[in-house]
Amino acid sequence: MNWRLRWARHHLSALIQDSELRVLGLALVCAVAASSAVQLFGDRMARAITAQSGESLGADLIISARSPIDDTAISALNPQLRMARTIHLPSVIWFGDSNHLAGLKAVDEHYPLKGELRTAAAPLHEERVARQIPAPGSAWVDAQLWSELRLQRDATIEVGATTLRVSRLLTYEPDRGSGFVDIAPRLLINMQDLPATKLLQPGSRAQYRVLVSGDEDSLQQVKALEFPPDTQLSTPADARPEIRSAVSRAESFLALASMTASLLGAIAVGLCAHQYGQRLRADVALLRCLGAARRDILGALLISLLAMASVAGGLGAGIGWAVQFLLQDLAQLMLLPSLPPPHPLALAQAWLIALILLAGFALPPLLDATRAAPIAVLRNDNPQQRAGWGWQFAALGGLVGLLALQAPSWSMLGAVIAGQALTAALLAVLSLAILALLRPLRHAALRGWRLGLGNLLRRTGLSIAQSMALGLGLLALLLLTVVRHDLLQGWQNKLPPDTPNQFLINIQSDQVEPLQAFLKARGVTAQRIWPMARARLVAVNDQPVDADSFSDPETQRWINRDFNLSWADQLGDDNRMVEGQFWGPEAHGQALISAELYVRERLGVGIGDTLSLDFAGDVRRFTIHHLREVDWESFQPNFFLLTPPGVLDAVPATWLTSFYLPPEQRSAMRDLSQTFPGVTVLDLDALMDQVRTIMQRIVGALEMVFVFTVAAGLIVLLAAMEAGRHERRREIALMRTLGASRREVRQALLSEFAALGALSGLVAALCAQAVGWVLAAQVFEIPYEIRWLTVVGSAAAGAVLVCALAWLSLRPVTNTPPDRILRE
Amino acid sequence: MSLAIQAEKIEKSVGSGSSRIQILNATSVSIDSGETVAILGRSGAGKTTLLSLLAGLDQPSAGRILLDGHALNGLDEEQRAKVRAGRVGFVFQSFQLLSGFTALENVRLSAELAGLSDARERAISALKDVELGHRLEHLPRQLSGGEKQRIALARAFVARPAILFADEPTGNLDAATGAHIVELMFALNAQHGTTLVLVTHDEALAARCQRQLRLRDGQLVNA
Ligand SMILES: Nc1ncnc2c1ncn2[C@@H]1O[C@H](COP(=O)(O)OP(=O)(O)OP(=O)(O)O)[C@@H](O)[C@H]1O
Ligand SMILES: [Mg+2]
Repeated sequence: MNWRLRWARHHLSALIQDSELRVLGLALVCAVAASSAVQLFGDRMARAITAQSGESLGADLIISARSPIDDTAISALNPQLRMARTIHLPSVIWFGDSNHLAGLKAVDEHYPLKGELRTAAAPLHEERVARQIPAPGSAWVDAQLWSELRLQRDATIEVGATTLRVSRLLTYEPDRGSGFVDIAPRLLINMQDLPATKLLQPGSRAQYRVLVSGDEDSLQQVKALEFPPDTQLSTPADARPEIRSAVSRAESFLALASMTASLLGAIAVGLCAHQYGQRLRADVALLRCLGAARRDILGALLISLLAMASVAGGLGAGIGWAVQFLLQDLAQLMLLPSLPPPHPLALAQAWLIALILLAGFALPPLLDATRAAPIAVLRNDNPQQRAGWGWQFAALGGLVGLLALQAPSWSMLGAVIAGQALTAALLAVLSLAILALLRPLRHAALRGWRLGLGNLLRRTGLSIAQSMALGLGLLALLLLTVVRHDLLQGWQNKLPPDTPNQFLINIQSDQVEPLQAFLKARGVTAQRIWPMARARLVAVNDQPVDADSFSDPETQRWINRDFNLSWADQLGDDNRMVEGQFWGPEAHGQALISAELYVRERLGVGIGDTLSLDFAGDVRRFTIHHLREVDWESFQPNFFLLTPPGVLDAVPATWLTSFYLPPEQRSAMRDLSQTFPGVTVLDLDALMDQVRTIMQRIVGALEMVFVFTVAAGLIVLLAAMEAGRHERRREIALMRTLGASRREVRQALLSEFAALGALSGLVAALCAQAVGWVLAAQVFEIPYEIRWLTVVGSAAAGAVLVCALAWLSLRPVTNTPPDRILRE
Repeated sequence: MSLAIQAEKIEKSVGSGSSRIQILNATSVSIDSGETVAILGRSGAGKTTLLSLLAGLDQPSAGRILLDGHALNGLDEEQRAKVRAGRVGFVFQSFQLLSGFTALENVRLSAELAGLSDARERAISALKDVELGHRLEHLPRQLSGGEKQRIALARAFVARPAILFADEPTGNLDAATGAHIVELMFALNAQHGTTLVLVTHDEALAARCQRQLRLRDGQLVNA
């Protein structure tokens, strides 16, 4: 082993023995552990949530097409894959003289692959989980069709060319879809009965589906298969907008947590390396003096950095891996479904993060140290050298690389970088301002305090750097504790316990008032009551359209259905204007229409385009007045299309309303359907429970992952305390030699750090409120209140925390005889 | 007899404008191989500055320096380091040992930089020469000032340098320890026939050298 390796080994062992390198090592390990745990767990978490929402689709993957799907290739892939086949087609169902258009769904005996079917003997009877699909010759009908056709149990209905017996009321099917607009009457039959209906004719609007379920690899194989062009693959995330947005929000948050952890790690590594680099200069100067080539010194440093990256990367990834298993145990305690195995690539990435952290943040100051002039040995001094701009760019590049590795999207990367830059600037400006305010205070203070404050003011540069680092650390802690709690709480509150769980539809105009009285008498506060008319889209900009005018299967399906329209002169909170303004009273009676973004997405229309709608033979033409976006997570009635009041008065309409009904008042619904026979009751409790559970699980997982980021924040605090510790040691020793009492020295230190801590705590609290507000508005779309008490509390907590850390780090110094320090 | 050091009309100034200080003023000196020379002068006279120039640690503002026959002019720091390695030894007032290296490693480092193949054996024998054969694995912080300076001596001599530069080697030591170090240094010097350039305040120590030079007003004069 030559001196280079010995020197490298010395740096490595200093990882344990030297306080600065120890913090550096800790920061490295923590950043890597955090990001790998987040990567590993977040990845698995997202996959688990997706899998769980598979229950809401009845499968992990649905393949749908307009023509029969050849599924032999799928069954050939993997014997583990399970499959079910369904065929959907619109059909008019007859019962006696009455008829109604329903969505007919024929299913085979394997259906559903995930989740369950539930039925009842009749409306408002006890619900049971169905173990089998309807027997041949029988059909299950949902509540809406049941009431539309005024069915009884065992009624015989005509379906195409055959007749079927209504054996059960269908109360729940997993792939029903939750959006209110999706709800169309349903008829579920056995696949064996389908031929007899003779509904499957060429040109019939049938949709063929193959439901697939299996492990992820096999699903990937299925996705990779070649299908005819009109085939559509959909996964649970496609099917449920509210779950999709919850999952993507959770992914963003996990990414944010891990990005914050590595950012904090970078700061800690940079701070420590800068300090260590200062001390390294003496070694380098000596080596140079003795004739060592700079290349050799560099080589030795690179070896030690690589070794550090390996050790810390390995250790961090190992901890991340282990903790992620721990998380899994916790996850199971929380009744999360079992997680799929972690991805080995995530581990490689963890190592890469260690490397980038060292290369971007430790290498520059250390490289800089290798430029130390040998003459410094003779002069016995250690001139501090400013890092060149080149290195600042290297650090910036490292930062971007680090974040880019973990950011799920470019826009998020941009937002995080801009946010961090703004935060840093805000921290710097606030620190400067508060320091300036402190200046006059110094003279008023006691001797010990005067010294401490003086120290703070004298070293403005270091004070600001330290207060920024401390501020960032505290900011991370605050964001992750106080603000996060508010945000997650706010998010969960989007679905408060009194969210409507009962929907009444098919209310006739003459039933509106008696129904409202009925509900009021039972203490139920009904939300708004909406009129609703049904229509079919027949032309866009006067060009006739039907399903064949569009190639996209989703649009085809949508065009095929009746559109539900309503009219209104005001919108709920869950509607946001995207383009144009909502209309005022002057729009009354005008042929205008308000379109949800989905309409633009499907039809490619915008403001000023016209839609012609057919209301049972009465065709009317509307001009799009504005575009709005609906928050479908709200569970409130909403419509893709709205007109002003007074336009559709002559069109046959029914009414609908929604309200929250506590479980113990369920019996009121039985009375209701007896008093108002035509009214259909939709019970959405089960659906909402599902969404609530998923939200809770996501929040739980996020809380677990944030623990690491909190640790990273603490390490930054530690690193900031280490900065200047060596310098401070000498100062303390000098003060003691010059006759300051131990008490005075401690008072000076305490006052300095208390001021520093309060300063950074205050700055961090102000920033945290700002960031929380931005996150609430931009990411969670929830209201956020600035909490002044938290601001004051954080400043105090910052002071206490920083003092405690300073005490721990400097107490041994005040106890050491000063001459020992000065002789070092 | 060949010249170990030849300096011609070297000047050194630092700073610029009104804060410019002329430390060395076109002074010249020649030192023979094997000669022992003491440089005296009051504090701030420029002794350390001169030493660093002669040893090639710094560059003069003007003038020419030959170190063991190698012209230092126009060489960059990297090339000068190469000239120094194995050819020049140093003893400093403040010892200057690598704090993370043991006594043996500190000495061995110098031997390795000189490109010696039996660095370890030589380092051990050099440490035995300074009576520290039993403290090979100790770190500098576990040793006294005198012991540290003896390690520095071992390090300085281990590569058999042609020239040894010493800047107040006893300045940080008490009289008795200092005297012991001086004895060792002169003994090793005699044994290896090294050229010695010694900076000191101590007239008695200077007197043990063959020649005494005094630095005054940026010029070297015979004392
Ligand atoms: N980098 C520098 N910048 C400004 N002045 C310098 C610099 N280096 C040396 N000097 C000045 O040059 C003069 C000579 O310094 P030098 O260290 O060589 O003196 P010295 O003779 O070794 O003194 P001492 O006996 O006290 O060690 C001093 O006045 C010093 O202040
Ligand atoms: Mg000097």
